[in-house]
Amino acid sequence: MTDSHATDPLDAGVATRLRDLAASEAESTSPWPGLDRAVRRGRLRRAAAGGTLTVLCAAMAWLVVPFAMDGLDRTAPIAGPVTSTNTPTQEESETMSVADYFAPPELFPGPTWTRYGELVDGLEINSIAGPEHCDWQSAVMMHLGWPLGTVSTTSDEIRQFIRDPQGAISAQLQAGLRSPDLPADAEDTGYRLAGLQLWLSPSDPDGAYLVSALDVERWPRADPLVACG
Amino acid sequence: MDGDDGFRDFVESRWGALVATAYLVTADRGVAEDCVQEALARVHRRWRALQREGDPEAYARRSVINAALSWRRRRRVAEVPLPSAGDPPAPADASARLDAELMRALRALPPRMRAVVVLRYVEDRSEVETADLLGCSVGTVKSTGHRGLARLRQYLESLPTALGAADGGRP
Repeated sequence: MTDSHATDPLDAGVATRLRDLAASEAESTSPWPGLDRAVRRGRLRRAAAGGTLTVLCAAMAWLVVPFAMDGLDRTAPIAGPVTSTNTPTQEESETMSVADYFAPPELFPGPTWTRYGELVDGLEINSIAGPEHCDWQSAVMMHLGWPLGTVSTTSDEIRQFIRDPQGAISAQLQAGLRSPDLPADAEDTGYRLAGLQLWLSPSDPDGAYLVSALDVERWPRADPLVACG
Repeated sequence: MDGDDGFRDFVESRWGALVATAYLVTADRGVAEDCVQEALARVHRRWRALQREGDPEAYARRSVINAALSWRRRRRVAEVPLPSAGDPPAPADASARLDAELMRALRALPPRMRAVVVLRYVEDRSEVETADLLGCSVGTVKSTGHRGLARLRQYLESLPTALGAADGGRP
C-alpha cells in the first residue's frame, strides 16, 4: 500500500505552533492523583458487573450497584439519568457515516434513541459496546424490543443485531455486516440517533438497516442472542 | 497503585504526549486530561496482558483517541455547560491571540475531521497509522484529511494576523 505521508502538509508554521501549544498545555498537568481516582472508578465498575438494573422511568435508567467498602455494604448509582442531549448536532450528522456514530461504541447504557421526537426507554432500543472483559468492545450490540415499539422484559422479547466490524465476536457476524442499498420493501421504524435512522425490511428479518447521511449498513441479527460468559 | 510492574513509569513517560494529542483533538485541556486518565485506567486494567503483547503504547494511544472522540457525548450526559460561559476573554499579546485563533480553527472542525488533521498533519503520522488509530480506512483518512485541511486553511487565511508576525512571541 502506498502512503502519501508527506503530501499536502499543513503549513509547517501552523503545525509547529500547534505542537508547541499542546506540549505547553500538557506540561502543566499531572496524572496523579486524577489517574488514581480513575483507576479506582474502573475497579468499582468491574466489581459492579453483577449489579441490578433498575429502570426508574422511560429514558432514565440507573444501574444501582451493591458493593462493599471498609466492611460496610453500600449501594451506588453508576449511570444515569440519561438524557437526549448526548447527540451530534444537525451539522455534524450531515457529515457522519454509520460507523462515525459508533466510533467508539459507548458502554452501557449507550446513547439515547428517540422515536417520533420522544426519548425512548433503553429497554425498547439500545446500542451498547460489547463487554470489555470478553474483548468485544469494538462491537455494537443493538437490542430492539419485539414486537417493535415495546419494552423488552425477557430475552424472548429482544431482537439483537450486532455490528462487529473486526470480528471480535465471530467471523460470521463480521461477514454479515454489509453496506447494501436499502431493500425495496424496507420501512422506517421511526427510531433515530441524531441523524441516524433505523429501517427494517420484511423480506430480510435477519438484518437491521442503519441509514446515515452518507451510507447504509446492514447489521446481522444474532439468533440466538449473543452474550459474554 | 503499588506493584503495578512498570505501569507508573509508563504513565509518567507517556502522559505529556498523550495529553498533548488529546488536547488538540478535544481543544480543551481539562477534557484532555480526563480522556487520558480514562484511557490509562483502561490500560491499567489490561496492563499485564498488554505487556505480554508488547505494545501498551499503541493501545493507550488508541484508547486516548477513542476517549477524545467520544468525550462530547459522555459530557452531555453528565454535565450541562453554562449558556452564559461563552468564549474566554481575548489574550492581550499577539502570540497568545494567534494560539487562541488556531485552537478556535481546530475546534470549528467536526471531531473526527479534527482528529484526522491532528494525527496526520500536526503529529505527522502516516495515513496507515492514522487509519489504524481511528479505526477507519486509509481512504477515509485521505478524504477527511483533505477536507479538514481545506476548512482549516480557509479559516486561517481569514485571520488578520500573519503567522510569521507572531512567531517571535513564543519563547
